[in-house]
Amino acid sequence: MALGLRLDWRVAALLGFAVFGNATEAWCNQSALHPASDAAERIFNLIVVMTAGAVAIQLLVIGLVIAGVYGNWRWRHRIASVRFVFAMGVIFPTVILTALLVYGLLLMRDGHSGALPGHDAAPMDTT
Amino acid sequence: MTNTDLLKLPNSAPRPAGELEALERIWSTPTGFRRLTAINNNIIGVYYIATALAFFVFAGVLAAIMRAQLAVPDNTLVSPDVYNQLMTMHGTVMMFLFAVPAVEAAGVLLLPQMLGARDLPFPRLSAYAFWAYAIGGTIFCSSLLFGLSPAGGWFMYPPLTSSSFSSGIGADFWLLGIGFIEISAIAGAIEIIVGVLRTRAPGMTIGKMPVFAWTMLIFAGMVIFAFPAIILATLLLELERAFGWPFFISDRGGDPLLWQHLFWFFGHPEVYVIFLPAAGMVSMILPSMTQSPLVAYNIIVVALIATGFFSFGLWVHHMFTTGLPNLSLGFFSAASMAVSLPSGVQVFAWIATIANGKLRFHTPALFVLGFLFIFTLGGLTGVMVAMVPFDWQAHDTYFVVAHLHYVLIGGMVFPLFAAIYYWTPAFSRKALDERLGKIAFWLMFIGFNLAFFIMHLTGLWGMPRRVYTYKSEMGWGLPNLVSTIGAYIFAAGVAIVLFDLIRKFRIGYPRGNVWSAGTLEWLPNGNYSARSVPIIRHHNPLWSDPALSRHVEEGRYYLPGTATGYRETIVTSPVEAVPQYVMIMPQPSWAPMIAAAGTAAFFILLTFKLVGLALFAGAIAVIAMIRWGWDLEPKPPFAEVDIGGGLRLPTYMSGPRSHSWWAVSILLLAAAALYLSYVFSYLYLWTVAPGVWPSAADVSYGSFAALCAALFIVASVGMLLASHTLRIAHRSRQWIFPVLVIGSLAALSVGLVLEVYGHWSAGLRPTINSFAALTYTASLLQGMLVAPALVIGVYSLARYARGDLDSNRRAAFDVTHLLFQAAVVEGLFNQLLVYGFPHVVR
Repeated sequence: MALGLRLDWRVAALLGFAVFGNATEAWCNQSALHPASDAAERIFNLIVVMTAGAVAIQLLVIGLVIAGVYGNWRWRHRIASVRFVFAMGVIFPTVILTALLVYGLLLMRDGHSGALPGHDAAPMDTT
Repeated sequence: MTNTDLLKLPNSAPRPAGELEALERIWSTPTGFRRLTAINNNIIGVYYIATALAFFVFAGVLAAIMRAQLAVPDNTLVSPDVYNQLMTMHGTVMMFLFAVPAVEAAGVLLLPQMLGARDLPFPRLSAYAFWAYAIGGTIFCSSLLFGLSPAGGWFMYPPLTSSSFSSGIGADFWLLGIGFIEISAIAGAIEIIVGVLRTRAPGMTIGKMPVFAWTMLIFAGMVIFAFPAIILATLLLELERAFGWPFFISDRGGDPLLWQHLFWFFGHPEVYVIFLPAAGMVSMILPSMTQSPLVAYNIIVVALIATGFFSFGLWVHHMFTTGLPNLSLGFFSAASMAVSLPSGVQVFAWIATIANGKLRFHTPALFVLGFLFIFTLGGLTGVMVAMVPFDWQAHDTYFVVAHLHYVLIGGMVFPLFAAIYYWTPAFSRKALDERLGKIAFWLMFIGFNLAFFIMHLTGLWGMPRRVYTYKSEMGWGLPNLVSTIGAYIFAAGVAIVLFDLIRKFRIGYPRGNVWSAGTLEWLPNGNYSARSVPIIRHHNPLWSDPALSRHVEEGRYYLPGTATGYRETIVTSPVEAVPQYVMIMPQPSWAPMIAAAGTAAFFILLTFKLVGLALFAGAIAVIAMIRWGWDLEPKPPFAEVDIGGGLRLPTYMSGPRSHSWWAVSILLLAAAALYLSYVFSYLYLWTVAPGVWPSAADVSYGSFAALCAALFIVASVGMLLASHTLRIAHRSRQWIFPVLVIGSLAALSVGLVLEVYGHWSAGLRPTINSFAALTYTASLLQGMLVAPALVIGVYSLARYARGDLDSNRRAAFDVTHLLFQAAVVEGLFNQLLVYGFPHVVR
């Protein structure tokens, strides 16, 4: 497993602990952010990649809205065109989503081996 | 405006004295107690939205109780059973009694004004759909007070909701109540399709139609094709619960997964059914707020149509964890990603529109910006859950709760609130308060994100959905407390909007075009919509012709008064909007409301197994419907009228150009969708349990098949002959038509009875296995077409006897004929499927 991604997980977990100090070891039992099998580990990497991508795209959209409202004439002129709509609305997502789909299909081929023994979900009283 | 342009106006001013008064009189709303008989879209539309908002508040209160329960771990505020009822009712009411009716209501309210029509083409049907929904929905909600509510989750999966595991009447309440409300939604959808395609102002070609009208057209089309699947599903599950017909019981050849397929085949398009009209609202509001036309209108329309198509190919993404083969998962994963493209296109088109003009930060604009932020995030998490491996982890956790609220509240509630602020001045005497609106927006925006953003994490940390409490050592206490606080802040924002609506919203002569908008609903208008119907040449006619409002109000355009003395509207061709005829519209009446109350009582009484009383209520409904139809199509005083500029139009139309022919054809599309869902169920259960299908050798139940088919064909030919007889209208042989009609109706009914008798006499009982149950269901579905064909057939004969049905005024018969032939076709298909299929596969 790439070191970078492990670090990402630690950062996320630390952030979680910092914000939610009451969290104990127990929540890790069924947390998707605490992978305990190879399969879960691979999916965890997917989660990190997708979260990063989602944050980037969300920021991009917010940035474009701000540029559309407050930007100078050149920026607004560029955004207010059918070419912009086509490039950002069709080409950009097609490229991103195709790449993501291939990634997902490869993960599916690798299989879903399930939780390791001893890491079953905590019992819940759901009536 | 030059003199030559002025010369093009169809009518001269000033208009004759008394013309406007006559128009106002015929369109006036009944007062006092009789206000309940109102059918005009500006009245029914407002009632409709107000009722939808009341259900929104009701379901919101349920959510507030749930959030209180979940605020701290190990809470005992509500019992597990009550929590399950709250959760089920929250989802059900929000989806079926708030979201879908609210957008349908917006269509009923806005479309006639926006399209330049006087009203939707079937005002009594709008009134019926509204009352059925209001009465049925209220009774459905009141079940919670008696602890009788369904508790199986809003998607009601069997076997949990089968009679073995949910023995109370809660599930029946859901199945009958929701099935019935879906019928009301289909009625509204038919109305909207015919309204959008046939009652646009002259010159408003389909390519100049406001985007909101496009979205309502696609919305209605999706309702027609998607909702029958849930109607069939509720019918099957209710048959299983009430009579033991095993569709979902695996011991007898059923399969619980069939429910999931049917439910989500409806349920996924439903998400877009809710979202598309909201997107349409945004596409109307933004141009006004920026004072510039929508960028990429054509691309947006293509995107909307694409969304409508794609949304039918995604339902399996709700079933990624049901053990389907990887190939299917991959396909549906790809389709789920593909559907995000057209939504993305729209987001960027809106951003482009913002950049194109100068955004004015009025309250509607704030709600639209809030929508852009929230909906984009919801779309991004949607792509995440569309990835199968991610869904394995996130399925049934709070991550999904977060995602769906981002999409639904972001994608529908924020645009709806923008629309409330935006369109109130078009219908109410006063606009809403801008200052309160901004406060409400910020409370809702901050509260929403506080409540639901953290849920993504709560879900990834492993908290499952639909649990009534959790242990403190799980560590989900703080994020849940944050969610609860956020939810209450959101509720405070909603409360402010409602307060302001109650304070300011008054039906009457509207406040007018406060936003300097460019579309027709901002023309000066009364109960009759605009005084005269303009000729449309641009997307934003009020911007391209600043004198338009004045000319319309002066009656310079088409139909400035009432030409026939009745309520009327211009019917135009579906694509080019060329005027074709003037349609005479009905007056207010008690009949739609009584019919709706009877229909609602029929379904509710069935829930309590009071069959006798239910049939009585059903009979009242049918009688009221006959009464309602009886005074439609009054004999017009003139065969043709001049609507201005020398344009003479007929006042009656029958055949494929008429609005009634269109409406029934669309109804038959819904019936076809219902039948296709049935064929899917038949083939699906056959693949699951081929063992319960009989071999070709013992298809003894087929002894009557040939006889039934022959009777159906005879009936069909008889009806065609009747249609022909009516056309040539032998005055001397008037008895031939009724004899042919009666004979054909009898042949069809006898054929259907024989079909059922054939199964029964061969020893087939619907409870033995899924094959037998499906066989009887085929006859039941055909019966659902035969019964109305019989009623309307007898009704047509009554009109014929009264002299109201002849070679020209023949709409009542044409309607019967269409239904009749559809029943014949379905009957013949049934013989093929039930008797032929076992021969093919064995």
